[in-house]
Amino acid sequence: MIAVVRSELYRLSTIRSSAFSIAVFAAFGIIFSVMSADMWALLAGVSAFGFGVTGITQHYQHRTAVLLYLARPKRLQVLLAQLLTTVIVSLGFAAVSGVVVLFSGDVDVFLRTLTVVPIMGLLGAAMATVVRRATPLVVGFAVWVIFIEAMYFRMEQPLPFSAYLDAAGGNGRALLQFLGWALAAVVAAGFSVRRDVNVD
Amino acid sequence: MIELIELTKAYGRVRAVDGVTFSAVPGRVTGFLGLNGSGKTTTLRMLLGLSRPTSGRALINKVRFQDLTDPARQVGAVLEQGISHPGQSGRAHLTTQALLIGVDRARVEVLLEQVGLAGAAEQRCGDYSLGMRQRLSVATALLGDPQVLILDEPANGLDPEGIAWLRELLRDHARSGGTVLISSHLLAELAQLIDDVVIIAEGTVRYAAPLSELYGSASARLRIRGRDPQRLWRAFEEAGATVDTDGYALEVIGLTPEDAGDIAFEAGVPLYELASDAPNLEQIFLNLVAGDAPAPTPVTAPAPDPGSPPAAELFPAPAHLIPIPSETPIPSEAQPSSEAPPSSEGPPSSEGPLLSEAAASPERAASPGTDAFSESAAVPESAATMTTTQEGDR
Repeated sequence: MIAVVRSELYRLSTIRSSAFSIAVFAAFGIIFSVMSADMWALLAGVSAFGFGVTGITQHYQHRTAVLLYLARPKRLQVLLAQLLTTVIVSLGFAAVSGVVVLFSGDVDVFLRTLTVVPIMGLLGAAMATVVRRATPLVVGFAVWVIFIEAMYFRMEQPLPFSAYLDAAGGNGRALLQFLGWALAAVVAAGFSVRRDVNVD
Repeated sequence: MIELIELTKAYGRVRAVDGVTFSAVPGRVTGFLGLNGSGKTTTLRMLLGLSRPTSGRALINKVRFQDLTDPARQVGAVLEQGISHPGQSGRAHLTTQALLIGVDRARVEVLLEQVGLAGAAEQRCGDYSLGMRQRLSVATALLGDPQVLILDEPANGLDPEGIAWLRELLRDHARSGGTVLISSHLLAELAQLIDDVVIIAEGTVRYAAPLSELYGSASARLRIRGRDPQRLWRAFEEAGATVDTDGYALEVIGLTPEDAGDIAFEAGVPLYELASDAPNLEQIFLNLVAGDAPAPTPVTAPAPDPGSPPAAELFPAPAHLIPIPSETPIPSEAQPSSEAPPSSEGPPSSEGPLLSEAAASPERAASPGTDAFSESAAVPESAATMTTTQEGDR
């Protein structure tokens, strides 16, 4: 599993678009953290979701999932390694981009964000394993958050993004609910990862 | 060693792969041939654990691919056309794979050199030509120094030099005891490389045997043109050959060029053309995948037909033909006989008239050789390393 994590981290750092995206988001994170700790926390969560999604879907988009599964055919182990990679990247991103928040005295916000951001990354990566395509997933999730969670339920129900926001705000119950959503997605991914890989 | 046993993949009611059974053994290169959509890639994907069979088994070294210990050190695969992330350099791609399978990074440099990409190692894969991406795929497959190589249409995009390089690489791998399974939709592309051939059509194996048997079943044909085709025809038939004509030259099966030349010499018939046509493997392949197509094997010469057109009509003297100079030395025992004047100019002979292609066709279709490549007869019993599944077995 460690070999997969090392390989994935190396891959992420050597794909120019991925490395550039992380650098740009980190820069925005620092700017946001200067403006508002809450804005930084929101950006960190959204970014973690994005990193989780793209880290997985790129493998299907460019068919490198084939190479991954040829080298490591035990797909559950590969999935766990990819989830661990997402956690590492999300934590690293949040820690670096939130340095200003930490040193400005918002230690609670910083620590709470560092707690929920990896879970958001897990949610994104697990959902990406199920859907396998970035655009439908990101658009679908955005539509879900805007029209279902925000407009219909007014962010008052324990749904994924609402739970994330509440958890980031320090709500322990919401943190457990959010963790529950992420774990449910991971279980779904565990079943889904065994599907056939089309190389066409 | 690769073994496929009754491997089947169904999508709903459609059976993309249906009871495929064959083996690929160490030390030999096995060609897996079929037209596009015949089930080759689906079969290889099941073999490599990328898709799950509906039924049957695919084994590599006696176990499923998923159950192999350290699979990348046992099996190298080239699938589709150069899989890599376009934003990564060739070197980074190989390093990623090296980290994944746990081999030393130093091997990356060795392989970049070996596949001829050392000079383009820092170039983005997205900027690679198709041939370069294929070379990178081969390097990826070789990273773990595997004993088994499985390649799906690896020659796509390679230039002739690249194809020759790949051919040598795979032959060397087989010579050193490795197992090579290579797919293609072109038999001619693999004819110089493979030892065994498995032909698949519509998801079922139509033929599985050493390539030499496929060659053997389609004997080399000589194309011969001489001054007296009738006399030549008789002489060749008396020597045990099978003779046919395309209306312009004789098509002779069962003789070597040396034998044919000697026979013509002894018959005293000057030859204008003697060429050896290699067996048309592509046609054999197409006939096999068609299933019900007539056999490509040459057939017995038609019986003489007194009512057939005169030889002069069938063998018109081409305008570009250069007559043999009168001073051309011809041994006395081989002087043309006065009984058989040059047919291109002489009268029609009632002894050995030549049949037109149209007249020969019914005979060809009805000849015993016609069934040699039919589906039921396609699998030689002597194919020791190969087994196939017939329709009735399923």
